Order: sequence, then C-alpha cells, then structure tokens
Amino acid sequence: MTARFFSSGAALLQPLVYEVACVAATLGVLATAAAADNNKVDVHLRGFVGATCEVAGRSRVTTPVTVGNINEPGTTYIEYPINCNAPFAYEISSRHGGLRRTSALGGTRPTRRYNININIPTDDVTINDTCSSDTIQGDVIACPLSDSGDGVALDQRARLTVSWPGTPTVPGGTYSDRVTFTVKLKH
Amino acid sequence: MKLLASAASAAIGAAALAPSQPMAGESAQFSVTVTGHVDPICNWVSGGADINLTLANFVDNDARVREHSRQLPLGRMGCNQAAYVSLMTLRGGMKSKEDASCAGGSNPYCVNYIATAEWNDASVTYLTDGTANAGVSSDISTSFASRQVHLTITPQKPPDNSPVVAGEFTDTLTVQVGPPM
Repeated sequence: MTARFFSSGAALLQPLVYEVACVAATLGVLATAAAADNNKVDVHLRGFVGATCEVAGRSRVTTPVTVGNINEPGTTYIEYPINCNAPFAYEISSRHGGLRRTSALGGTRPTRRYNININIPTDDVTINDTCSSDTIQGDVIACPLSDSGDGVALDQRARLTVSWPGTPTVPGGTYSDRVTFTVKLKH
Repeated sequence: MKLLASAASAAIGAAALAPSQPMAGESAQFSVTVTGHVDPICNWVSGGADINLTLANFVDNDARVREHSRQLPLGRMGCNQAAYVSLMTLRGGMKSKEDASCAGGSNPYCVNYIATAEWNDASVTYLTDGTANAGVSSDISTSFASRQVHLTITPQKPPDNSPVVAGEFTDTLTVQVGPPM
C-alpha cells in the first residue's frame, strides 16, 4: 500500500506531506512481503517404481529348440525379451551337462558337450559369457558368470547361442538337454 | 490512517486560513489532491500448506508409466483483483537421478508429467521437458472471488513406452496465484 500526497505552493504543508509519504511506503513494503509468502504452495511429487526382472514377460517360460544333426558342427540361438529395471545377475544350468541320448545304448547314454554363450545388453555393461555345458551341470556351476554391474536391461533381448563341434561323432539317436536360464535382482 | 486524517484536516485548515489573508482585489486558492492505491494481493483463505503428493499406481507391474491423472485441491485462494495462475517445476520432471535429462522423454531415470492448475476461470497447463526452474502462467482471470485452487498431475509415458528404472522419482512443483511467475 502506498499513498501520494500532492500540494501546490503551500509551504505550511511540506513537513506533513513528507510524513505521510514515509508511512505509506513502509506499509507498502510490508504488504508486498506478505504476498510473496502467502500466495504459493510447493507440491513435492513422489512416485515409487518397484524393482522387476522378467524374461519373455513371464516368470517362467519353456521353449523347445531342435538343432538338427549334431554330428556336424553347428550353432543355433534363441532370444528372449528381458526386462530388468534394476541391477541383476543370472544363472544358467544344464540338466545333463550336454546333449544326452534319450535312450541307453549298451548300458550307457552317450553325451555330446556343447558351448553356450549368453549375451545380454544393459545400459552399463554387456553380459557376454561362454560356458561349456559340462561346467554348468548340477548345483555347482564351474563356469564364471558375470552380472549387469550397475546396469539395467529395459526392453532388451537376451540371446543364448548353442554351438557344437561335430566331432567326435556320437551314435545315432535322439539327444536332448534342458537348459534353465534364470535372471534375478541383485539386491 | 490517523496521519492521513491529520493531513486532511491540516489541509482543510490551511485552505480555510488562506482566503482570510488576501488583500482586497486579490484571491488565492490552494488545491490538495489525495491519491492512494492498494497493491494487488492474493492470500490463502484456507489450505496452502506445502504438500507431499505420492502418486499411487505410478507404473504398471512391468515398470511402464501409467498415464493416470491425480487431482487434488490445494486450498482456497482469495485475491483483491484478477490474478494469474502459475506453475514452476524445480527439476523439469520427476527424476530418480539428479543428473538425468528429461529432454525427449525417453530417459528411464526421468518421468515427465503434465501439470494443470486452475483458479476461478484461470487455468494453466505445463508439460515438463527437462528444463529445470521453468514455469508458465495463465491468462489473467476475469474474477477474483475466493475459490479453491485445483492441481492435476498426469505422468507421461515415454514415446516408446519403455519401462523406467526402479527407485523414487521426485520433483517439486510450485503453484502460485498472483502476478505471473
């Protein structure tokens, strides 16, 4: 609030004019300060996003893969959509430690070892590990597996590539293995 | 006011005194003009305290943003003349990492949002784009009745609808009624 008080040629009024102007200016400052403090509000926005890690949009998926004649060198791969929004690690295991003949032959079940490569891009590092099938069998995994570091894999694709040498040859028959690939949050 | 009254009475006194002094054939006239003005001011009539707003259902189970609007009243604001409604964002978007850029809307460490504030017939909408300390003001209202200030927040999906990282996303939004920010 301010007020102005004008006069013309009245020496008698001059001191009074000055006094009114001072009071008005003071009131103006007070009013402005109050307005600055009392006409706004701060809204502190918060949203929480939980950690999630999924393969193929599900917690569990089983995919059959036919690789053809394993007495000839070959390679094949399968890709899964992966979505982990927090740092993660993975595990991989082979049920038989190689492609094992589905029926016994002379009391044994011939097995063909293979290599498996795991490739998962993240926004930090790319996981790129290769293991021999016999090193990922059972509960003790002998193959060193890396993790995502501080990275996340948002709408990425994990690729598992299986390759086999073709020699030594194995007897005819049907061979199979089950590979289990698991991703899990690190914390 | 007391001083103003004194001034007025003094002025009247002075004016009353003046005509008694001129000599014959002369005249004198004093003119006193009193001018005042009232600064525009807006105050919360109720509410107006800072608010912590947690956006529930911020994302789906697969960490993709849900464009779910949340509306809330901020309090009742009264002004002594028409006023503007203004919004200002501190971080330029809801961030989970301080140095994340929200420009373009595809950073998984940032969620942009649309904020709309309304008071009387003044309304302003702002889409964050990563510009910190940025704001916008409405057209001036045509009314200044004491009314509730409403705020609506709508998080925005990234252009590719990609997921966002786990964590806490925050921003501070300032809503003001008064002169433009």
